[in-house]
Amino acid sequence: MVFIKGVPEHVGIIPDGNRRLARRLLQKPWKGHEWGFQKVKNLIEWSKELGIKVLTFYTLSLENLERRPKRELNYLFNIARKELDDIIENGENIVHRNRVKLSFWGRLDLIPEDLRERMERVSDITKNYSRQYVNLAIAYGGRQEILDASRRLATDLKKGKIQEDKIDESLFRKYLWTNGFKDPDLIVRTGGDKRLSNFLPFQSVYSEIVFLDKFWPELEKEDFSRAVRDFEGRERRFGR
Amino acid sequence: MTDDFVKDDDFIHIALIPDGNRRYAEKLGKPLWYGHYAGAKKIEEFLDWCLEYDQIKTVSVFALSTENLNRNKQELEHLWKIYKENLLRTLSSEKIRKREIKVNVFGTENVWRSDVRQAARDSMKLTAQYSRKVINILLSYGSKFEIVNAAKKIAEKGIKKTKVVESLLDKYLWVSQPVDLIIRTGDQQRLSNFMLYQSAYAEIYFSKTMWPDFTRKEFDKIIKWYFRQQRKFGK
Repeated sequence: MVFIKGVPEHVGIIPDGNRRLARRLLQKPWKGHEWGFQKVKNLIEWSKELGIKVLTFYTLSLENLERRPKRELNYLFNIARKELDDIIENGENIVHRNRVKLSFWGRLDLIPEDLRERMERVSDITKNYSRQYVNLAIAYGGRQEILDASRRLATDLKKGKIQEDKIDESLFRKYLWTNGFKDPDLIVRTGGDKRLSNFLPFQSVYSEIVFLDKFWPELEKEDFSRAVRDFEGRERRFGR
Repeated sequence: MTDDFVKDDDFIHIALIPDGNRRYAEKLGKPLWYGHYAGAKKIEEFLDWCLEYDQIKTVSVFALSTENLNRNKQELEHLWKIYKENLLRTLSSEKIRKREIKVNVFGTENVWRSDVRQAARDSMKLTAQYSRKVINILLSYGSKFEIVNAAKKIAEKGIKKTKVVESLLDKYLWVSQPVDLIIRTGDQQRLSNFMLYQSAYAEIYFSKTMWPDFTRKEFDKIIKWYFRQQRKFGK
């Protein structure tokens, strides 16, 4: 039995509740996404202060992409364009100030090409940063990630790039988006729902989970700190 | 009300992580195995409660994880004894026959004690004909291993088409049916390598109660809560 005294190294975040908050404030649902983007920046700053090295955000799921109204998605993509352009053009952006390496995980081939190009540019610009790591899961689905990994594994085996008897968990992990990162120690979901909604199923097997009722844009530093303190007090057995 | 009145996609699959046996025993000043025996009894009760809900068709119980195998030999011997006794009981169970309950025992078989393996095989053989209700006992199970093992089999087949891979993965997993509700007792808020692929969209209920103390009242409350949740499926 191990008491982990100390902050989580990697926190996964399901930032739910943008639309419900907007509706409650009598705004169009997608206005909440604007606030949501700003909250991501808050989290980057708070994590720096708390000493949390890696954040992975469930920004946009495959299901969101398939089922949300086009208008909402376009609104979302426009906000993303603005934010990414700011990273590209503005040296004072928090990403540069905090030296945050940004990665984009998911089926990027399914989102608008110009957005994808911006993301590639941002990944490139920040590739040498190493003080903080922020991974944005976009057009992401955990079950699909596992299926994709299985397919690519099969292809590589056929091509002779890997050997059959070498296929184990360690090799399989190399085919996941999270390759190179430790699993999230803690997953925080805002918005009141008690589900993981296909977020990092393989990587969350031992993650401590905190469900918060507040909607994502309402999250305050104290709420996040409390979740981290909750984690710090827990006894992690890793299944033993 | 019989099962015939419940539509096919109204059936739900509950996954159970019955944690807290040992702390229950410690609290009473009893040895660990006392907690496991109390826990086994509670599982039987729990399965009876599930039988009373027409909508609950499948229940998967996390009986033993691959990591649990590192526990001390004495404790493990008690656990094997419990599994064997309970599996043997299914062979002569009136309830299993009447309610047509299929019993599956899945996990890495080669580490099961041999008499447990035999009892499991006998139980599965006897109940293979049934399909009204399904009970999956996961013994020496780990989600990551299950997934990697399935991926390995797919790789060996050389398949690349997505649709085929998806249905093959389902075939190679021990349990392919998606989980609708996970209940974990024992005041821990994590899923401990249990059915993560199948539970991607499940509602998760963490109970502070130690497993042997779990009550019907709390269970009914959880089921009510489950049905109140909006089932959004990631939308």
